[in-house]
Amino acid sequence: MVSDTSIDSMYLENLDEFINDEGRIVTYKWLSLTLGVHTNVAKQMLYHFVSSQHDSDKGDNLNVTYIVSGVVAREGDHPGVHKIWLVKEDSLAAAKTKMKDVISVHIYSVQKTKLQDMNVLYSANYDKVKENIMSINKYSGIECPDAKVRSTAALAKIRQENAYQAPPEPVKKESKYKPSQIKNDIKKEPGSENDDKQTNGKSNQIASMFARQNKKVEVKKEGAKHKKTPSSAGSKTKGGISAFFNKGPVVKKSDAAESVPLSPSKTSPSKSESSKCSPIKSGSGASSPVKADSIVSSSSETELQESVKESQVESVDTDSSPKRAKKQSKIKAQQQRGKNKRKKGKCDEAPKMKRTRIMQLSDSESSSEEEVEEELFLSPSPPPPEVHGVESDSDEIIPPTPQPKSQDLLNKGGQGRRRKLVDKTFEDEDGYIVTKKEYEFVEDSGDEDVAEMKMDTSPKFETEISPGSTKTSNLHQSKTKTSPQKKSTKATKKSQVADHKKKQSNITNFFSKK
Amino acid sequence: MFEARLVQGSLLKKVLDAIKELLNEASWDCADSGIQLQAMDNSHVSLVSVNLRAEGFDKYRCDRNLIMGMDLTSMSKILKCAANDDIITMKAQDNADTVTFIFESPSQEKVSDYEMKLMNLDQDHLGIPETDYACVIKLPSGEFARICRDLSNFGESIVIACSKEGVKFSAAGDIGTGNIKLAQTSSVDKEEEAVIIEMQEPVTLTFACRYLNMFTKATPLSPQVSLSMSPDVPLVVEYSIGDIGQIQYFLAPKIDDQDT
Repeated sequence: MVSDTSIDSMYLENLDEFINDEGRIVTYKWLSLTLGVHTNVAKQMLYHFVSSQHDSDKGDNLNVTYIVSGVVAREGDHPGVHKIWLVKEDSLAAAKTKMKDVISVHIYSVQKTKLQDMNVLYSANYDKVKENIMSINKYSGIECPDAKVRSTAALAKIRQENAYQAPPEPVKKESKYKPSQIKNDIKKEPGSENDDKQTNGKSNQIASMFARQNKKVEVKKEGAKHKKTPSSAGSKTKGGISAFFNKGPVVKKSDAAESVPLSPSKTSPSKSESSKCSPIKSGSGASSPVKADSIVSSSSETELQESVKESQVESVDTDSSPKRAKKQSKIKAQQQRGKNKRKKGKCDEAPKMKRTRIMQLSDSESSSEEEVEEELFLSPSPPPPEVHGVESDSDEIIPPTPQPKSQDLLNKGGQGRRRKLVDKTFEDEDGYIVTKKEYEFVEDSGDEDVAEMKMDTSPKFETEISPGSTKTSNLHQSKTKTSPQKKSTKATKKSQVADHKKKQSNITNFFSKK
Repeated sequence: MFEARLVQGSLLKKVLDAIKELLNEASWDCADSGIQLQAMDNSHVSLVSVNLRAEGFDKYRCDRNLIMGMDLTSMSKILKCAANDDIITMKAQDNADTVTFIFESPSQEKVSDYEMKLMNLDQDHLGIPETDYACVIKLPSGEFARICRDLSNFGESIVIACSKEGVKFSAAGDIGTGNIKLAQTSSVDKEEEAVIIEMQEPVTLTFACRYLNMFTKATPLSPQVSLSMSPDVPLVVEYSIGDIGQIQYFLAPKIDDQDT
């Protein structure tokens, strides 16, 4: 039934490609299913291929597996049985000798690689067999006309029957003929209720073979969707990313939120606390609450709450001198508020955390100062409101900012500026004398000292003005916050502000879409 | 049919290490000339472009142009299964929905193959104009990685200022400021250890540390990195991938907010 003409050169070329180019393991089964030829033809093709390769001296790198069937001689208890062996070329002779009668020797597979393990032969067929599971014997010489593929309805029926009568005899009977179905039925027996699920789930089962096609498509689609969501999310989160860079404010908000419960009793907690602990003797009380109110009205809620919270913290911290006035704490709170506001006004992105550091700075410096001042600085949060230079430095996110000095260096050619730590004393609205250390930008010229002197030695006079002015400026977040400072600061500040406003740009601004 | 065989498999591993942090998924465009990848990170601040030339592979075959969308995290997991001295082969059928990675040990005694599902990704390619950069700085890649790492302790941004004297990296933040100045190397023994600055005009730009640090994941690929800058255009950070191609990162600078 197999004519030599059917094994034409095209097939041999095919084989050559499969084996030598793609490096496949070509079994006769695989070949028959792939090319759609009878298994016997496939075997013959393999044989021809091997012999032609041997003829052309290319056969050296080919490995051939043979399928040897025969009756094995009786050994010990075992009676002689009909066995079918897969053997490698080199052990073919040995295998033949082991058999009493050799019935047939065929080529099972041809491959370039040296087989370490016969298992691969199975996997070589696996995909093809799976594809053709419904008609696996299409090209084989073994037929069973009685074997019929059952419809799903029939299967369901059988399953139901099985559910009632545990031993599934009929199925087994049938199954003799149709191996693929056996699998099906047997698998389904145990849990017949969720058959459907199983059919869907088990990829090996016949029904699912069809479903799988669809599934694949689905999976693909899903993949696409999945992809889309992240990307769209990504584009949406542009804001999120920018938030990443401006972490500060976010944190602040959460703080504020936390402190919300405190807000109603805004002044009371600080008072009660301060009665215990705040350091400075109370002066004229009247003004401060008013101020606080005005602040309240003028400032946004979050700021307020925050500042309240801070004032509390502050008062708690300053537990050293109980007698001092409540007012002081209030003042502090106000300053605090003012500062916060100013900060906010100045740069929304300024991370709150940074204040801590400034405080430490002022702390260490003020430690040597009079008590009053010390009190002011003791708390972790409140640096003197006037410390604009320092603050802004630390507040600014961006690099050039922090080094007015280096800037100065750069500016050397022109009027050099220098940041100086200067003591400032003034009277606040409650009549306290407050001395603060602050950074000032001073012209680097000869009048430096004079300027300094001015600042230094004008305690009371200035105080009358400066507290007011600073306060108001603070309260209104006006640009005049520089009031106690020199004009020179303004310039630097501007540049700082500009720096700090730097924003991450988007790459798509630079490249156009193709 | 697409097939690319790379004896120096570790290169591909390193490429993946260099991009997987920045990109979750990306399309590999396979053409006769080689393999390319271009993708933006999620926030669209940076762009990665990988180019692997066909000549760089030991065997390269691409019958038809093919776009393989891959989940890079998965791909990286698969490549983690390859030893550094393995030979890596990528294979895909035309119009396939999977790609196969084959890892062969040098002795050919161990061969593993992994198949990975492909994804349908939106093509979002950007045209990158040819730019004549005002400054091109070449420096040892390890040095650059070190600088980025060190300065990121100080702030979120790094200012790169390139002038005649050299290049200055600076950062500032809570704890203070940091400045690193590199001068041109005068005597050059090995080119990759030198700092070379080609400059038409001084440039100062600000960049986010975070991205620079992600770029420096490519450091193992090449001993030298090149930074190209021009005012108000993205920075280009380029590493060569052995002798088979290069990886380029584009990073949009931080710019002054126009509102203020």
